[in-house]
Amino acid sequence: MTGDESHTGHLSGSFDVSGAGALSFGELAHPDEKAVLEKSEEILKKIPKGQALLKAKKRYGIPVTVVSGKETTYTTPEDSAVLLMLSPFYEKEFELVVLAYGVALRDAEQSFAGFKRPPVDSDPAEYASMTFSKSLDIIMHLCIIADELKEELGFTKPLDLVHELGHGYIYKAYKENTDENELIDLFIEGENKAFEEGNKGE
Amino acid sequence: MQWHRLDNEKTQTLLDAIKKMGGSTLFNLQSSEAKCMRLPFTENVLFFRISNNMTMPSFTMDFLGDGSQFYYLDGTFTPFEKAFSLSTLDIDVYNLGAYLQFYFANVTQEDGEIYPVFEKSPIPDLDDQNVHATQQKVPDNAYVFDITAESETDFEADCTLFYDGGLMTGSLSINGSGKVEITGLKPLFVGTSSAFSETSKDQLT
Repeated sequence: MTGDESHTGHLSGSFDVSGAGALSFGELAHPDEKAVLEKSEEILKKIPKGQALLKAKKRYGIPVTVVSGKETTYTTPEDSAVLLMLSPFYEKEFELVVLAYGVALRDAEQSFAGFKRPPVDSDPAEYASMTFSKSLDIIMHLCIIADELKEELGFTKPLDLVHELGHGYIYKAYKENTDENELIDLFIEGENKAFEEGNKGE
Repeated sequence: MQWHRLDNEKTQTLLDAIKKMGGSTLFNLQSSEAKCMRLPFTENVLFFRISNNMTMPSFTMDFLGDGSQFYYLDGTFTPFEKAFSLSTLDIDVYNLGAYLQFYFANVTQEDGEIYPVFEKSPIPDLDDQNVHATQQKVPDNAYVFDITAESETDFEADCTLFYDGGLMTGSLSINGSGKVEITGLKPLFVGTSSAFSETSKDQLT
């Protein structure tokens, strides 16, 4: 049970699968990038939110690159591209790769559609408001994609992750068709609670 | 064993290395913070971390390196092997706890989130990273961390493990190259010795 039975000994190769402007990652690029993106997109095509996000990817030409990492996650460097990171054992949890890819596309879509991250030197209230709106939107998409993966395709790990990340209450609100204002209140309440619990642990 | 912020010159050296690996767009001097930490089980290799604070959440990459060569910690054992070819890996009963904590924080396990549980972290500054963020408290009479030196470079540690959501006890075999294998897993409280040697106790609690 060591963690070395994996891909990284051969991190190299080309990576031109993901659209114009895809980041060039040389040694850091994941050897399975092309296959991972194709398989993820095949799955995303089978759920409504996935279809919408793939349309957005095409519309904006969102570049996507895959690298290896300790855990499966994503980032959007420079607000203009998706960097998907895969754990050494990503194949065992491929539905989480699909979830991360879907949420990453939404994150990038926000930016391409003009809803960019606020500059760090912007007005603190405006900064907080924009950051809050972007975060809530991302969490909502996390819940929607996880829900559709379960309802349409029977994948359960994404929903488990939603709860592990502490977003179960947002998921519940989504399932109950809670209106937007109430959702915002819930999110603020949840964030405050997490903040207080974090402080207690210190 | 605490973080030291890198000055601009040293940060640039790390940025240049990342650029050479192909990651030129991920970090820059303006938006990034780089720091390093000495490790008690090796002389010349340091643990480096660089974070881009402009992304939400902030994006971080970790490396092992000697200040001129850097190996990206990608969740496998491979960068350990490469980095420790630059310096001797000097594990002993006094720093084994720190090594195990570092190993499980940086080498992803196939069975999920797994790490040894300590009453007091050997490297507290590693506790707050994204992976392995779970902190577990184990009742005093159930806690075990007992080291046996099989040879000068090989060790066996019976310990309490957080194992993919639950607490277990198990034996960790550590060989001279730093590779760790888990054997003899049992649920906590079943057949554990609930004690640890004086050596381990002095050094690890």
